[in-house]
Amino acid sequence: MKFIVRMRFTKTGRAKYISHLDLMRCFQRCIRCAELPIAYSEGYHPHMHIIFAAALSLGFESNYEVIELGFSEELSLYDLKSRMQAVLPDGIDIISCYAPKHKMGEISYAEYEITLPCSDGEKLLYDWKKFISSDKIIVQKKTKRGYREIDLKELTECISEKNENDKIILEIRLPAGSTVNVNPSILIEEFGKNVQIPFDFPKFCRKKLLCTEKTEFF
Amino acid sequence: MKGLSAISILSKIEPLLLKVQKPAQYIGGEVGSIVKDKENVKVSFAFCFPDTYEIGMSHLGMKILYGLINRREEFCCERVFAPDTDFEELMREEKIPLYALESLTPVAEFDMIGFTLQYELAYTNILNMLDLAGIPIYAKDRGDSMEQMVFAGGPCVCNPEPIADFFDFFILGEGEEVNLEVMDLYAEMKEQCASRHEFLCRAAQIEGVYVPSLYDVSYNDDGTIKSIEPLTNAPKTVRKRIIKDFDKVYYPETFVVPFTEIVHDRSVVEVLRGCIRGCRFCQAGFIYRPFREKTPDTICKQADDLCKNTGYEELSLSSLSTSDHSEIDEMLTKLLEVTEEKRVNMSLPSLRVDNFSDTLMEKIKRIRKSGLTFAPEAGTQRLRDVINKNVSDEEIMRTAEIAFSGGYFNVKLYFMMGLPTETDEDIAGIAEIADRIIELFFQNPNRPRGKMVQVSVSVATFVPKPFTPFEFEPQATEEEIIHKQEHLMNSINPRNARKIKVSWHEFRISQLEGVLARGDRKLSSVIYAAWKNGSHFDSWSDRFKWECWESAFEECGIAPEFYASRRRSYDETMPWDHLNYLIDKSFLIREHKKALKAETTPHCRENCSGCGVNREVGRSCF
Repeated sequence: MKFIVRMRFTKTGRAKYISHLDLMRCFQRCIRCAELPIAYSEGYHPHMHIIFAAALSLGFESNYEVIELGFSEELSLYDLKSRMQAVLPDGIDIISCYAPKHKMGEISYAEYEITLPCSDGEKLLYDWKKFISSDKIIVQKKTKRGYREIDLKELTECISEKNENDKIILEIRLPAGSTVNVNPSILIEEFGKNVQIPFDFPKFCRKKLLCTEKTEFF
Repeated sequence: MKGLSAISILSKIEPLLLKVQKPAQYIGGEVGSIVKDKENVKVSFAFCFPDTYEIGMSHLGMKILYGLINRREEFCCERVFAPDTDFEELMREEKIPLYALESLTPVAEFDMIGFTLQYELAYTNILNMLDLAGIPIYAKDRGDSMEQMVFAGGPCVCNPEPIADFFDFFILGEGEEVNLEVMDLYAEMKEQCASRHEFLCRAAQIEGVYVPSLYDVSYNDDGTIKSIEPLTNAPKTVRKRIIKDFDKVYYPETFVVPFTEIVHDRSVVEVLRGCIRGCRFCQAGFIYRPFREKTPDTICKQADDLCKNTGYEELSLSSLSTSDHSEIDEMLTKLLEVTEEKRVNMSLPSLRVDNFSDTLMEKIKRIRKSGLTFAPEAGTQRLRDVINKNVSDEEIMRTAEIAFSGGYFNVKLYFMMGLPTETDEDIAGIAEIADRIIELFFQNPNRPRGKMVQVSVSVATFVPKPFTPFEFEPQATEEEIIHKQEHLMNSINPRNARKIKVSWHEFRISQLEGVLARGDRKLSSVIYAAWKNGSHFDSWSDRFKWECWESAFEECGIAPEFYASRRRSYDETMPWDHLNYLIDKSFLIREHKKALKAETTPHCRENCSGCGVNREVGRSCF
């Protein structure tokens, strides 16, 4: 009988440069440091019961990372949180620990906040509105079987957009999960080809993971 | 480049990090890293490893000194590595100075900038890192204040003369005590606003500190050294430091655990220092004397702490020869209790073939399966006697036998070519050993089924090193080495050719290593020119550019052969003769003469051969 817990955590600051595989290894080591009763699989090479909900692109920040941990015995969620937090690197902050509600496969969307630093926010925001209201935004998406054309216009939902003079901040929702997954960087890359004034190094932050009905994933 | 704050470094590197390989290596923030507020720190120390993160982070000495220095509240120690070429290019384009990983502050703002010199081929990386940091490359150009004190330690410091002009001082021997003494002195004199020269004169009085600018080197007409004289009251010879009570010496309870994978990504416990063997080619075997070991209880406690604090899934033991630990069985039994309980894998490098017992094999068999590595070093018994590698053919075969019965099928053999007195017969002996091992595999009824034996033969070109009995010997020339390589390939039994994989180092890399190892101060201009010509990462065979060095030697009017392939007489003044590594030169001469007669010397535990260390230490070694 396994005791299964999900943990929501942030990945900010320096931690955003930890790749997905490296983060996996980091969690494994931190679990050992915290001396938690993690469950191992059977077999010749036992591995820890650790599952990440959705991989995050290298360089993205996030307030909504979810990891599932299986333990060989029940333990207090408060205790788990404090023991893990004590050993995790800066930038990885545990927000909550809870019993799983949804299946991992139910993840269907993700919301992102995208910050585009620039010299003239008003102009850039104007460009953005024009760009996102075009009929079609066709890009080539790299898949396992070569390239495929997708229409980003159809797939992107705009939640908000604001001008802060030296930058614009966009909030968008895109399909995420195992069936369709769209990385917001391809949208921003395409937008970069359609602007009058160039913007600086864009910053991405994943704000939410959502289920099929666009309710929060737990 | 000064005055750039941590925040501005961060904002400058952020747009670049996603354009380079493994960005996590350039941003710090790893579990176990220690970030201090510089306001509360009296002396800041940038610990520089002159190679990439994945190599430098594997280095045990850095882990020890990092923990040791940061344990002192008033000191801080931060890590610095050589950026890989992709990131270096961007750093130069964007004018980002070399920075330390903890606080992301420029290296130039640190009080002390210390390099560890683990291999000679990293020398150009040092110049490149100083340049990236915006620090003057020649020590004489660094001005009169105490800022940016550049120094170095590590094994290559036993002959630092080729790079002496780039450093303010060197630390000889083991660093656990002397580094703190030097930093204490720095703190005291920084408060007094002393000058660089005043500080260096005082530092030179600390045992183990060598200030090259306080010594004058004069040369004979033939280019050899006439004399090395101290200019002020600096000591005539500088003695290396050793830790007297090795069992009690500081050892870190945790490591910085990197996010990206590094070469040795595991917990490491140092079990012993020094070596009893006295292999005549091996510099480490002489410069790390005397032999000292930790008790099994200390080793277990340190292993336990490290496993717990790092979360590493693997533990390895570090030493020159782990199986020479006097309580090896008790140590391994106790360690296996610790590691099995914690689900930690144990790996054991540096096991010598000759005392590989069945019981020890039984214990390590539980641990690993992939392959076994032996280092017979030479192909015939005669040549092994010359180099005092006391391993017999029978022992090699017996070990292979045990290994095959134990389920191993990959055997890696390390040899050298170009050893003193070596003949074609000795080279053919290498092929014969590989051949006999393959035959042994097929004769073994308990050999692993369904597996094919693979013998990897790695042949390094011998490089004579200071403080060894072969420091007088010429290094083999290119023609000689090419002949030997051809002879080896022709000696391999064609029937087994596919089961034997032979590899060797590029000759020019070994030759350069030989030049730098036994070089003098005249070489600093060559190193500088080679770096200017575009050399760095010379130890990476894919990045080594001989043409940069070749033209550097030419520009400076220096022949590499003078240093590499010249026989030295016993009475020649060596560039390192003013550095005392506690080994008598008369002992080295004695050993050299015995080598030429193929006479062996028993190991230290069996019989003291009078190298001089025990007299210097004031006690017998055993």
